Amino acid sequence: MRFILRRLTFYGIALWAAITLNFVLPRLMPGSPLDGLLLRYQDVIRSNPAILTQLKAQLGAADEPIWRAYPHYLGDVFTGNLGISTAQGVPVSEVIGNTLPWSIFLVGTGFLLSFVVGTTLGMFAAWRRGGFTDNAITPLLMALQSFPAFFLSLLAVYFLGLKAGWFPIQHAYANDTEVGLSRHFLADAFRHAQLPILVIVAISAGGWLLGMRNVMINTISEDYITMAQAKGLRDRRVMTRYAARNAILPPLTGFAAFFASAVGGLILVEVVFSYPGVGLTIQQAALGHDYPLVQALLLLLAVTVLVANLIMDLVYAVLDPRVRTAS
Amino acid sequence: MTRRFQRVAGAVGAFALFAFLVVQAAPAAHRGASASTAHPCVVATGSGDQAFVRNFNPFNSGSMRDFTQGGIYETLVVSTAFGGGHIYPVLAKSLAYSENGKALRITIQPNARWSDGKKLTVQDVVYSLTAGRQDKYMDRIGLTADNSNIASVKAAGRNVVVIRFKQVDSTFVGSVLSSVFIVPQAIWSKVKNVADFTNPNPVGSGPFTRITRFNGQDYVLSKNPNYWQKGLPRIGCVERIAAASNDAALLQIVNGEADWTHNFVPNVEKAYIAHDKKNYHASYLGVGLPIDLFFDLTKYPYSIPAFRKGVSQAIDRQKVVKLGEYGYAPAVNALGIETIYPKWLDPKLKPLAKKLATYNPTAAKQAFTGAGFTYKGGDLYDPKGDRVAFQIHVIGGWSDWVASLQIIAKNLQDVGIDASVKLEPDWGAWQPNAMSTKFVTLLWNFGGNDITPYAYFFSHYDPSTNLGPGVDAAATGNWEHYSNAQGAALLRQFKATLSVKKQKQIAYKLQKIWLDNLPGIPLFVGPRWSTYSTKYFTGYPTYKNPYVDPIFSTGNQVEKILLSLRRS
Repeated sequence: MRFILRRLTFYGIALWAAITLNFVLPRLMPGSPLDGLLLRYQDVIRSNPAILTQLKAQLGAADEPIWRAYPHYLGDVFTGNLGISTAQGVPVSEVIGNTLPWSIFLVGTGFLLSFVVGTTLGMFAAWRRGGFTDNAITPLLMALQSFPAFFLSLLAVYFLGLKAGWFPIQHAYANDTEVGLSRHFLADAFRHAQLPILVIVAISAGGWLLGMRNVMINTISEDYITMAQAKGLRDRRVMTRYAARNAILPPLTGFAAFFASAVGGLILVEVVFSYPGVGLTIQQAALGHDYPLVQALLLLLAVTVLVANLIMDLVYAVLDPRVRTAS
Repeated sequence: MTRRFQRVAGAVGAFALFAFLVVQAAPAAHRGASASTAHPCVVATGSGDQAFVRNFNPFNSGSMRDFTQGGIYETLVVSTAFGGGHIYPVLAKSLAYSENGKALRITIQPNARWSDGKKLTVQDVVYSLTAGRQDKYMDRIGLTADNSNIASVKAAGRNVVVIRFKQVDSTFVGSVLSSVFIVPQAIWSKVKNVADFTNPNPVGSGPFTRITRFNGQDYVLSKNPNYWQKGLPRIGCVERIAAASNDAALLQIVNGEADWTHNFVPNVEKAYIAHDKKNYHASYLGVGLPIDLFFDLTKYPYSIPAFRKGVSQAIDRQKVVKLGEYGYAPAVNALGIETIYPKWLDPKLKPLAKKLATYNPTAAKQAFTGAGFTYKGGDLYDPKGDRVAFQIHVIGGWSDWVASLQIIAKNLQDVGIDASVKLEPDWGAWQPNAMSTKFVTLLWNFGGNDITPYAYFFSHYDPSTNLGPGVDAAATGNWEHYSNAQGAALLRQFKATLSVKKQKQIAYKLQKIWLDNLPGIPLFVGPRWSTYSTKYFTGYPTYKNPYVDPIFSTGNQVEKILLSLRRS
């Protein structure tokens, strides 16, 4: 219990730091949030340029001194009032509501799949060191992993999508598909997610594989493995129950850090596939000077990474009793 | 516990794999089907699209969906500088000036209807013109401005609206009235905060008012069954699909999924047209306002007119357009407006405008030395004795501008100026300093919707557009922070006369002032890119027949295109 409390305190502080950083960063960016806001007023300004000064005074409320703006901002964040997207003209929360599910679906599936595929292959690679898995798949995934995400995405779009025609090349579903919980829509959404997910798996499975393989090789030489084999247990049972279960802990700790770095790459995957998720939105919002949206999305990403870390800590505590009692 | 964990993990993995394979196999039929669909709508695509949000507020062109203006909502007139300049009546049946030009009588189309079947009345028109009183955000005629020129807007009978002016305003119809979208009073008078209203279920008078599909990456506007123009539109629907980038859009137009875009496509013959020579077209209109090299004219030595003239003559425009602009954008003379306002040019000034834009390093050097600049070993020094040196900033990804500027910098080095190109990583890094001309840069000109060159000169001469050094001039287009008292006085005269003959005489003088001062250095036309496929539909503006601006996302001109499109 004390362990969990300690972690929660830590995450509270980290969250505060993330929010504060998020408050400061846009204020350090070149240009002014006013540029984005004025975009919404361009028609009025054209007919009546004098309104500009008036607008600036009106919008100047955003220019309030830092010591007053900061508590305002904190209050807004905790009440979920994230402002209005200057490029879309609707509340930021609505934009996030429209885009986040797609990203969760894409990343969630991609990560889970790469975890399962990577660790399983890593387990086999270690168990039969020098075998086929180890000699062929390990180097292949390592090579794929070293590609930048957007580059591999482009290659996938060009060769697997455009040239071979096996996959749709962009978007989250066919344009003429009605969005809803119909079987047709779900099948279509899955189809459109395949290629991006394939790219995510190709890029991130290598990390899992290597992490699992390396730890597992050490685990295999432990006495309890020899003991298990001496007991006459089946080979597969020794591999999964004895070796793999112990070996999986260290790679799992890396999950959160890994997740954080992969979120960055994900932005580019979504951009290449025109996938209507958070990554694409954050890119377009940054280019369009849509400060409220950029700010909210960055915060969202920060919180996501923090939550991922927290979950990993808790899972770790469940899997490894030593953590629970260490404190 | 272990066992369960393992089972769950296994199940998830198996399910994911299963889903992957099943879905891979299943919708193959669907893929075939979508390729052979009848293509019922004209499909337009964009670039840099976020997931679409349902916003059909015609007052918010910063965030409304494309075709809100021109598709759902209409104006009284459509004005365009293209095709030699036209004012097309739409909801206005006719326009007439009276009371010595101080009153404008607008007769509206008697049979115009809203998409909900109700009649579009003269009160709706008066409401839309004066909506600024309800919410300044809706003011399109400067009604709420301190020095408003509008005396009154009143209905006169069942089909006539009369606008009275304090002073004659000859530019009103072309540049102001054409931007007023007519909206139903019954709906909009109840809207509390128009800037934040997204108008998800629009009621308009335009040709495409029914939203028959809307999702994050695609929406369809279908024919208005109550449309007041008989037999129009000739097509059933217009569809807009999302494209995150130019590359994504290129894929869509190449494989025929989208018909229409206005993105720049480098090497368009190979990248697009070659895929279907019969149906794929690119209309890169060589008509438009110029792109200029702009300096901050409040800074020395840029403030010296002879310096600007020298720079203009030092630049090899032909080489710039051929190598930098892929040959798509024609070079312009020193006035910059000969492609878009050919009828307004002073024939007597043509030789001078041409001379000032002709590559001639010797003449450039003479212009410098004539104004007190000196050369030391080939390096140019200003009259105060400082080396003439500057960097021209451009966004690294804007490859055509980068290539053009590299040629320009080389040209300027040849006449002794220490000029170089500085690449900026992105819009955010470039825009604040560029649009305030804190550094030297290429920029666009304003005024393209006007049928006369009034707006173009206004944005460079009138003191109200000069926001001062260091200020972002994006609202006015006076990037160079220049004003000209004589020019401003002439512009007032221009506005105050309805006689086109007198306007032309004034326009000639305005051109003389430009050539004497050269506030910006016009280089080449800012082309209006557009690619379109005639496989399913025809009637787009073409290179030979640019009846309106081919770019569908800028204002109401698109309505003329939507009404001229038909099945091919």
